[in-house]
Amino acid sequence: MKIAIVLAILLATVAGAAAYGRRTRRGKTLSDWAVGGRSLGTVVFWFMNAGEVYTTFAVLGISGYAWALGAPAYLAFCSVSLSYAIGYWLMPKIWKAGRSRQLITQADFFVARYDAKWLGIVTGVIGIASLIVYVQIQLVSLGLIVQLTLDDLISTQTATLVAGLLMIAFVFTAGVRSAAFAAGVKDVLMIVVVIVLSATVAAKVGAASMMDVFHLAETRHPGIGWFPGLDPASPTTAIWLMTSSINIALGNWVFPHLFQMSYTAQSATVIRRNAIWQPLYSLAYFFIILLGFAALLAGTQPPGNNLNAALLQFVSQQYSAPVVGLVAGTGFLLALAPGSLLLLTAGSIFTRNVVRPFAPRLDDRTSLLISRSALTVFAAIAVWLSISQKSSLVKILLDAYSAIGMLAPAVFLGFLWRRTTALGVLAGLVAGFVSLLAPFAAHYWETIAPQWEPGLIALAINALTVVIVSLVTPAPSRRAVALGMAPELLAHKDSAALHNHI
Amino acid sequence: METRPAQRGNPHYRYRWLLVIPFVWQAGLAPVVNHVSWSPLGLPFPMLWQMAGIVLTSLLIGLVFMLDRAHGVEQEEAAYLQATPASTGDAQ
Repeated sequence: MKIAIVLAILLATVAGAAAYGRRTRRGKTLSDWAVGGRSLGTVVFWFMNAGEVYTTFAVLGISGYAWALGAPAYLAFCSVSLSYAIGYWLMPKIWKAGRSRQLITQADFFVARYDAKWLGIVTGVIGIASLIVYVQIQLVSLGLIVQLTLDDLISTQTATLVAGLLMIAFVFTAGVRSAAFAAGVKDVLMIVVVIVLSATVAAKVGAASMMDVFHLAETRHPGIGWFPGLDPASPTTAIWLMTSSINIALGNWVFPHLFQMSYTAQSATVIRRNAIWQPLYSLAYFFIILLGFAALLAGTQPPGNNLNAALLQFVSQQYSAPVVGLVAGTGFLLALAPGSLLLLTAGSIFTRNVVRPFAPRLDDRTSLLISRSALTVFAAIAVWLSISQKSSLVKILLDAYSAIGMLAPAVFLGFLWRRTTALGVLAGLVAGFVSLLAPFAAHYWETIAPQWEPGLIALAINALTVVIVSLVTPAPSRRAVALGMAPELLAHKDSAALHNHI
Repeated sequence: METRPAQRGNPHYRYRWLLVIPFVWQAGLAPVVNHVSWSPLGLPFPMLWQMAGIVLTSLLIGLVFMLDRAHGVEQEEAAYLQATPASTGDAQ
């Protein structure tokens, strides 16, 4: 019964997605394929954005955090609203830059704004690395869902490997539009799952109502609803929430796939209108946290005490086979749809920004072959990372944000400060990555500021270095800088600069 | 004053600083509200605070959207759309 439902959901979605991809493919240009011809209107753009709200991180990671720690799961409530408070201002700028210079990837932006082809290679590689870490989140989740479907018949390693193969198969059969379709199906199914589970969860754990679940949790585990949560010694204090949520908000639009999402909009007004409503959708995290608390009340013990598996374990113990099948089938899409979009983005950045500078005359066939081989390798690396690391999904997510945060100064300063230079950006990247990854630095932050998100500290050091080095290196050309600045401001500042020189 | 960020230098859009309020509410005040032990509706206060922060963010972004409209941002964007092509195929 369970496997039948999972297969039905998967096959129906793949068939629908393939048909949709064929029907809507309008042109053969790269811009049509990669950025939807810059033509997405309010409704489709809303669904593209909303697809990033219900993710495996949100559903499995956040419910796992609620189960294991309690209050730290509130991080989910900050991630979307703060990202859009910044996005309202930033996304239209990215959109405008994309339209005025026909940019396709994020690395294209860095090349154009800083007038340096080599910066496209550097930022392309960093973008790909962060995407791989993000794919790891999908693979860890997908592995757990494979195990749930097969009643733990196979080991975690095998399940992760199967997950990786499924993801590559999905990418090869479905293009970018098909993945977007699957993401839409996933969102509808996810809403059904949340309603079915939330409506029945109180009765399953002996609570009178949804609100009573929280009351019971507080009675049995005093302090669970306040930071640092269940474990008084956990570093997840309110300061942790503060620095982690700011780090997420600053890094969010810097992820290559989300940066490129701004290119797809039909107009900046579509982007700004979408930003009004998108935070409200994230109120749905209330139900995810509710389910995590309920799993705790039910005494759920996931295998190996793995917090990522808490929700799945709870569902498989408390619900009937059809519901488990629905959850598992939805879970497959939850990981496959975004995972394949991430791999597609990484593959196209590799071909366009890493290989092409060395081989400018690539034909379409070879480009596609390179993209597909590259994304297979990236998926393999993500599989290896998922098997060799045993972290919570929230921790992996924060690591991915720390890595991509290293490109944030180049994005923000690129729009804010005309003086920012390519060499400044490079120096900032070096300083930032050293303070993020060098063992001595990591140890130092842990000693002096254990509750602080290290990514945010590294980001600050990075930004400071960009400013200092930019001041002593020659500014990019006027045409390059114009990409990030409003023309009237440039004109005004030029005349001011001219006066200073005279 | 070359180092001043673009928006700050333009008094026209000063109301966009309203978008900083969600950061003050959800991130800045998180340590403060963590000391409130009240549980309205049975929900922990810091949780309700964050959910209220989401509603506030949507309201503020909506307000800035209307102020932008009143300041002619939509007309500027329409003019820009008129002046530039959506895509010229596989450029570069």
